[in-house]
Amino acid sequence: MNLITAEGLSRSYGNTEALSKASFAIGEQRCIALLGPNGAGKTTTLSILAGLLEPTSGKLVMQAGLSTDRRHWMGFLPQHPAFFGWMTGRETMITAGRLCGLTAKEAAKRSEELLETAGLVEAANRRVSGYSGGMKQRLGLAQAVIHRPRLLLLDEPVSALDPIGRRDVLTMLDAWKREMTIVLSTHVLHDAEQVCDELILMNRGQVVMQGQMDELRRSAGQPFLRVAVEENEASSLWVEGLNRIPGILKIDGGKFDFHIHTDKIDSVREKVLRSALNEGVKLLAFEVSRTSLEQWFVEAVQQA
Amino acid sequence: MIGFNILLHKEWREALRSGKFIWLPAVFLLLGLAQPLTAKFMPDILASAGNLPEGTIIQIPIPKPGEVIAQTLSQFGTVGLLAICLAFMGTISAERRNGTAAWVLVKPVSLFAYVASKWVVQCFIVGFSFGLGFGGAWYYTYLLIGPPDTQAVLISAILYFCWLMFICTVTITASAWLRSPAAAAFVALGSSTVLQLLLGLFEDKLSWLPSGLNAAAMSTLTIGESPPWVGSIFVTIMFVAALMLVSVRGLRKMKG
Repeated sequence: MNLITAEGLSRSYGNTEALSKASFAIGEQRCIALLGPNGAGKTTTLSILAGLLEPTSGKLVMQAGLSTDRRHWMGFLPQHPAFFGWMTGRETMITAGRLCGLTAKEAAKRSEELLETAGLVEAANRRVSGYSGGMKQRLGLAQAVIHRPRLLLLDEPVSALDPIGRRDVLTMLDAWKREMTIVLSTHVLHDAEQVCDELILMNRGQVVMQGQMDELRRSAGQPFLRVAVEENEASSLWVEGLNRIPGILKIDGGKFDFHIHTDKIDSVREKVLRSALNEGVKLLAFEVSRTSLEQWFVEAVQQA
Repeated sequence: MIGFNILLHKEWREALRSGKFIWLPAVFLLLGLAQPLTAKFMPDILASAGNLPEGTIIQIPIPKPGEVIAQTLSQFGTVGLLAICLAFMGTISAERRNGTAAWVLVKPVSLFAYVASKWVVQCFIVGFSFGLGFGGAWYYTYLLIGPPDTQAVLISAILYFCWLMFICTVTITASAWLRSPAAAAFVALGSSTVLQLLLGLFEDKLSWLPSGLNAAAMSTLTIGESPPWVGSIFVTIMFVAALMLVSVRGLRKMKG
């Protein structure tokens, strides 16, 4: 059962159409990445999901049995999280909890738990205006889940962070995706690959496709062998002879570090490895890779 | 009105921490004290200002207590109103611009609670500031000039507070609709001026305007008798209620 199904969402600002007839489904207990280049309509989509923006046309269908005011079971973190600078971190958490309908006691308890998770215990009594970008982002995440939402919407949660902040946030998300559905937008595929199991690809206001991450990875391209050998006479002879092995379609790359393309990866892998051993070639690397999603992403976006 | 209590608490702490609850009362207190003092000491001030030939005799009749307090009100009507508009001109638009309004509104909070919490706290701050300034003016007038008519002072205080409350509501509404805080302040000040002008031009027919409260407060103090103001109070309450709904619409418009 899907939490939310979007049917033909469109949103225009004046004459420009930021989102046109986007349809997608948000299932339960998974992490979905909304991937696309800048201007693809990711922020518009998330704002509509969060209820901050009304679609010009199209509709959202909510799972039956959930409150019609989706703000009760939804958490949202905008691209540039804004807080009241005069509040301390702890006050921000408690205010967020209380506004989401928690009792004073629950809110205080959840705040302590989440401040701990977000690594903000020491800074909890400082004013938010003095927080660093990374701390604000972690605070933003923590306050978005204070009421244990079923759905967590995150707009570019890691784009503005340094590598450490990025890792912290991704770790937090990884832990939470067992308890709730996370939808995050990003233009960095690598981040999406790290935590998400599903992908919605957007470009120019349209949903290009939606699919499971590993399915995409599999369908993204044929696997190929990457082989690297020590540079010497024997190796070069061996490399030249490789073409004779049946099943190899193409060899490209450098002389001692190259890719072998084939449609029968299992048999070719074995034959290449055997022949290398037989000929006494000193292997440096031997691996099976696939066309990366990155390449596929760039192609998909350019096609549209 | 989901979330009203919590938002009220938030607005209250914000007013305390941003210093609004200190400087606005200070402005009103200063205005309130200055009027009786200058009224009493004007001859001395002029004498010590110099540039007057030897032997000049300055005779300024010391005004009646009621008049001094009425002058205080007219100070509140200019500098005081400006201070109120400046203090609250960004109350919604600034939160919308920096994203904190979105922070509040993605949570299950009713739009009306958001506006109403601001209204209640701001009316309270304005009431407190006005009370302090007006009380100060009353006390100093009593000390320096003479006892004013207590009943007239109290009635005019209530009438004037309603007028200030109205301006406060206009500021909030303007702030909900206009992006720029300066524009909101302009609309609030402008509408107060226009309302007073209209009243001045058609005093007989338009005495029910909210600005009638201002005029009634003044004349209660100076002449000692009050024109009918029940109509004005009623109209003002209607206006305030309508403006609150208009503010909510302004907020909703931001979504679509």
